[in-house]
Amino acid sequence: MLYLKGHIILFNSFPFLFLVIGTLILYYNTFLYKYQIYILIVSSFIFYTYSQPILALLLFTSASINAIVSYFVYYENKKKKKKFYALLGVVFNLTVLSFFKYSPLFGHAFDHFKSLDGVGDFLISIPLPVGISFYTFQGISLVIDLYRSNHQSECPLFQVDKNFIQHYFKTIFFISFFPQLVAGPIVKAYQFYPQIKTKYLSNVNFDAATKILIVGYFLKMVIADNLKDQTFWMMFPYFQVHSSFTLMTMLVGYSIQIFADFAGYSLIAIGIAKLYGYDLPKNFNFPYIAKSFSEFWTRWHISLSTWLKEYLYIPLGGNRRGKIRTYINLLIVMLLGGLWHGAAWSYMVWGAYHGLLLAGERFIGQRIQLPQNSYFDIVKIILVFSLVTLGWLLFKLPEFSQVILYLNAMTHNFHYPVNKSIVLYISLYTFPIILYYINYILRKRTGKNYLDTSFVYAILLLSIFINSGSSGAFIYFQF
Amino acid sequence: MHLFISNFRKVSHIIWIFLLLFITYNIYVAVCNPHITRYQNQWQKNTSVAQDFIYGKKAESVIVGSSLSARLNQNLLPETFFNLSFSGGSVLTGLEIIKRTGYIPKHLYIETNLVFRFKSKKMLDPLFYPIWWQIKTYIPALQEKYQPLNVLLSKNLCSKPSNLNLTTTKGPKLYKDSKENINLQRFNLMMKQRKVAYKKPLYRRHLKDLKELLKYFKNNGTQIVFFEMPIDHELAMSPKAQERREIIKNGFHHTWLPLTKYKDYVTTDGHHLTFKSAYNYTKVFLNNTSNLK
Repeated sequence: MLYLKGHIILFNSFPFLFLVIGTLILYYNTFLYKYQIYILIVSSFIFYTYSQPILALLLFTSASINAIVSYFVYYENKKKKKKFYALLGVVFNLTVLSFFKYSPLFGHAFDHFKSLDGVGDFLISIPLPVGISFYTFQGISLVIDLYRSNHQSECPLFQVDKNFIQHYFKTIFFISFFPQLVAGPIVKAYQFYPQIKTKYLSNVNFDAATKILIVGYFLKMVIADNLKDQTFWMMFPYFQVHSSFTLMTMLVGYSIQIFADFAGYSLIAIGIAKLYGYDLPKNFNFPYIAKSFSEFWTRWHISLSTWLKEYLYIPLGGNRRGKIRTYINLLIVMLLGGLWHGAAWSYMVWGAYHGLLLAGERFIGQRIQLPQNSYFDIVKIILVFSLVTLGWLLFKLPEFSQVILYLNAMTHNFHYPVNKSIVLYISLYTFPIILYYINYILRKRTGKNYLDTSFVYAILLLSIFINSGSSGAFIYFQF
Repeated sequence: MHLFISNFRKVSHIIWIFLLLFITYNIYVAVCNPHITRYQNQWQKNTSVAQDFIYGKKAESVIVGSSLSARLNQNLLPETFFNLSFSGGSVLTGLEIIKRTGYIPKHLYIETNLVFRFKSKKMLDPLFYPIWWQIKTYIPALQEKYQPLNVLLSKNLCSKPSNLNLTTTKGPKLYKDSKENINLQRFNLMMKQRKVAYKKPLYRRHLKDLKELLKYFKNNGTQIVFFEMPIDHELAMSPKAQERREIIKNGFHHTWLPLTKYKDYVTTDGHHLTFKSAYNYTKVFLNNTSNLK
């Protein structure tokens, strides 16, 4: 698959720093208060279309159509027409997403039909615009939120401006807001629109924003980027010559890496948005502490899992239509959630794997009463972490056959020498994450955040400057 | 420090402590000059080697190549040599680094085994990021080599360069090496993959880039010398390897170091020499270079 990544500004690059600072200066300029939204729209388009202006067209078209459709959905009085507009909006977003994201998958299918070779080649050649999975989901959320709660509702989720132009620019802003544009958190319309108003510098919580940014950059640049250089050897064919223990350590390392990478990105997005006076939803809540798979999904990529729950699982009937239907719904949601990550069989298998884990957990939970004590909780945490970690192999290795080979090597290479260097560095870079989690547990028990001191943040900042790994794109940018 | 913003007060604590720690660490690096022997990964080692070349004292002879020549024994190489070879890297990347620093070496030794590999933009861009790369000259703690973990794990917290005479740590005249010392299972697995790779057509897209860079150095008075690192005999005699030699011999008219007897050396995976064989070949390499003069 072709990606248009690399054409946007990375969060850990100088151009991004200049963009954020430049935008802040204009944004909080007293003479420009009236134009705050427009300033952020322009910055967002610069961010997204940096050296690839063609992307602007897609983003602009997508946002514009969502603005038009959502306006009609909100102000249309006839129920049938309202439903038609809402359906139109959802279909439009899903078509855009499918066309760009899944064309290569269909393209490969055309390989079997010689007469349609040209069509197949065309579909395969369609590049994947960065962030499309995120902003199309936000578009769907806008249309559905307004369908569910429109101007006729007694207590609408949020108000839509009567003036279409104002609504139009607010929607462009909602869809394109650069901190969350390329990899979330996926913001629901009802969370964002009520926040759109004039912002003042004096109201910005610099303390919180700075701390969030420091932790975010630390997770990304120090933990994830350094682990990335160790887990590089998980790729085919390198993994074949490593010992079972090294392979297991690398898999755990990748599990920590993907958490640090995505949680780091999410925190950076939240911190940057805070600088402009916007609160984005929490995306991670210490997922590896989860005692069950269902709990894991309330802590991992929260904005996606709640999106899937609100806009897919519940409309499908959730758990209200009997046991069998609940299992089916879980499987459907997780399968689609897997496919959302990319047009590859491995993502679908990953989704099915999680769907089965959720369904299996539900099945067992309804039949067997498990003991409730802290020792058993630890066993459950380890089990959930191990199975979730095993699933990440489908993310790391692009082909399913390689996953099988990796598992084969992991269960057979016991006599190979352990790569002590890889094991040492993965352990060292995992240690801060363990501390981070321990601090969370202590905070929950004592109410005190032991790591929340200026000295700790200064150490993290120092590490960002002098102990970062090689700069790499965020893993979730490819989705 | 309130930066004119009243709600910035709490953040200033963090920044002050950070500045204090950062300055202290820089003073430590500048004064103690810790000797780094451990790197966290291949990328970091490559970057550190490149930064040593960019910011350090320049040697009159520079070796450029891939992970194959990166195995040359560093302790045996005299101070007049700098080995700018990168694991997973290329000759073109090394040549581009030398060119961008503006330095013209007296002799350039070009490894030919993987000579047509591409120039790594991913490596070059961060090394020469505008302004930032010049700042690193004055703030050594920003150089990848001096990451605290490297300093700690190298266990050489404070060493003056004058006390480190690496060339005195030479080993025997020659080591005896054999395949018994290597992991044969791993060797066979890698050889299987290499044989498949050697059957694929030779990739020569970057030949033009190589010609241009070598022309640049030649025009500036550098003596260019080709050499081939010993690899597994079977691979060295393959049609692909022969074709590569022919292309270089016909396309470039520079000096060659004599080709070595491949069977005298042992590799861990068909390409990379064992420590002992690398030691032995470094001696041969140096002997050959001295015969050139």
